[in-house]
Amino acid sequence: MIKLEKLDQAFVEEVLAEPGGEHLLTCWSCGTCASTCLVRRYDPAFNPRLILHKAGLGFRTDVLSSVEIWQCSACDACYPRCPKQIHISEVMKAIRAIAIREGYERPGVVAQVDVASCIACGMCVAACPYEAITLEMSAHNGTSKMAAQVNRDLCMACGICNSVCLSSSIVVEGHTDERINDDLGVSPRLQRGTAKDTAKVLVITCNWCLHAMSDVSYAMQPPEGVKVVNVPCSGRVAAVFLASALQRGVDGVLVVGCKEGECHYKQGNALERGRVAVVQDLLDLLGIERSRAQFAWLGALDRGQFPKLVEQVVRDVQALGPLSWGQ
Amino acid sequence: MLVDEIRFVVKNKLESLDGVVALAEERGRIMPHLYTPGDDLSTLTLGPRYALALVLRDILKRNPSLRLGMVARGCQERALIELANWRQLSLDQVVVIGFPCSAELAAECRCALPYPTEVIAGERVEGVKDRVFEEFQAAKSREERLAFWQRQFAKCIKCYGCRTICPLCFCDRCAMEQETWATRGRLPVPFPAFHVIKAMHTAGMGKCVGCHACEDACPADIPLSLLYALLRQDLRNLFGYDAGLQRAGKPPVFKIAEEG
Repeated sequence: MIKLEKLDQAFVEEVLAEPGGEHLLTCWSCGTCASTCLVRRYDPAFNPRLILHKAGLGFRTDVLSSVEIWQCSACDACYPRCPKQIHISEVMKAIRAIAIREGYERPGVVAQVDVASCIACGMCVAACPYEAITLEMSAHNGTSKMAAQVNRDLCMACGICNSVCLSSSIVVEGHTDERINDDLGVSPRLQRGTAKDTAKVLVITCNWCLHAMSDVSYAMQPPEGVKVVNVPCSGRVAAVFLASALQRGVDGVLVVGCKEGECHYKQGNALERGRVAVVQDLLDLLGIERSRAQFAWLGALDRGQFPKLVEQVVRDVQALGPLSWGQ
Repeated sequence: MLVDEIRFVVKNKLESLDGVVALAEERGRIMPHLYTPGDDLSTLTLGPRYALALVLRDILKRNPSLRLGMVARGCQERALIELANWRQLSLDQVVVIGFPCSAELAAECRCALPYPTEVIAGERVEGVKDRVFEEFQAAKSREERLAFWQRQFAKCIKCYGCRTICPLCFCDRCAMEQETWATRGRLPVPFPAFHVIKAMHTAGMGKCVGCHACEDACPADIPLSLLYALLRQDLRNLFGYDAGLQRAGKPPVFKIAEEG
């Protein structure tokens, strides 16, 4: 039930005046954004249409205190599909700007910097898709030094910063090197459950590219010899993860990222494509077949194609035979 | 002699600089040295090839107000430029006193650019056309390459000499020492993740200037500079990036982030 006393026309005006918020009231509430939204796959309660609707009616406190306004990562999957061409991520940004002004804080984890070991090379600043990182003088050991600093309100915890940091001085809790590395390689289950001559393939997939339920259930129950590991973004997959997986007994690694231009974190997939290309060439130099490390796109229009993709790579790796280290 | 000419230039430069980093020979040993105004320069030597650039960066990091010179070969000037591209020093604080390498050394290093941008003394020699990539790939089958590198890396005693001497290994905390990637006290180091870290964090990110310091430092004679030369060529092909060739150059990560 709508309680009229909760409606605040001033809030509507405020959003409209905020850069990006201009189109708030042009929404038809058709729900196309919600049906495209990738966040909904992980949190069905998230609904961009409802937030726009509530904001348009003036539910100030409801909107500003909601978790939802922080969840949109501006992947803009909805933007080209909106019949009214509302740049929804920009509206979300406008609402967030008001929330920040009013003292609300982004919930959940964000990237953390270890000031002691940060050498301020600026790679994370360059790689961050959200311009959430800057180099600032930071307090350290009673004095101050230049180090990366994360803006809590902008960070989306994708971990791309960690993947380009040479000393892992910037990390996202839950997706540290140790944590991800633990998941790589041959697990006892993969070892036991796999016939001797079946290729063992590790699939590292980003959280967002499996759109279809059939893809998700396949990932949860992969066929013999296949193991699927989730990371927030393909751009989180540092080169050493690929080498580590091969070293620890898998015959091939596939990194799956969103299609070009569709990355949930804007450019993580482009970074990863470049990185895997270097790793492939390095493997080739070392005498390891380049197709043992692969990168593939999975676009929004490729729903249900995940199993096909994996099976193709399994065939590639099967044709190479088990990865034998010779000595 | 070339070294006399360099000593003369260093003496002059010391009138306006706080110091000059160079190699010094004392009692038969050659080591990096910071010459300050008034110092006896007779110990200054051009010496063998040596990674001086990180020494300079370390001094500047502790004493940010200094302006220093460095007696540099081509590769060490490139190391300074690359360090600046990674924000580890400001080139405004550095004066390069450059000299060319001999033809023999250029051949030994397979160096395409055996001289700095400005040569204070001595004659530039022609660079060597680096065909190491094609030659290596043509000479060895995949199986032979794998056997070769496994044999080479099996010799590693994990002394970290290659990392410590590298002029572009500027981290305070090294990934190669993290327990996740290297188990303490375990030899031989499992192939290839540990060595992939070194390769990717230097040549694989566009940092390696090909100075051969890692190989000179390696007590096990692992041909690291061969692997990194191959990888440098690869980075050139993939991203058009050559470490240390461009002042205010943007390493590949920037390029990908900006252009997608």
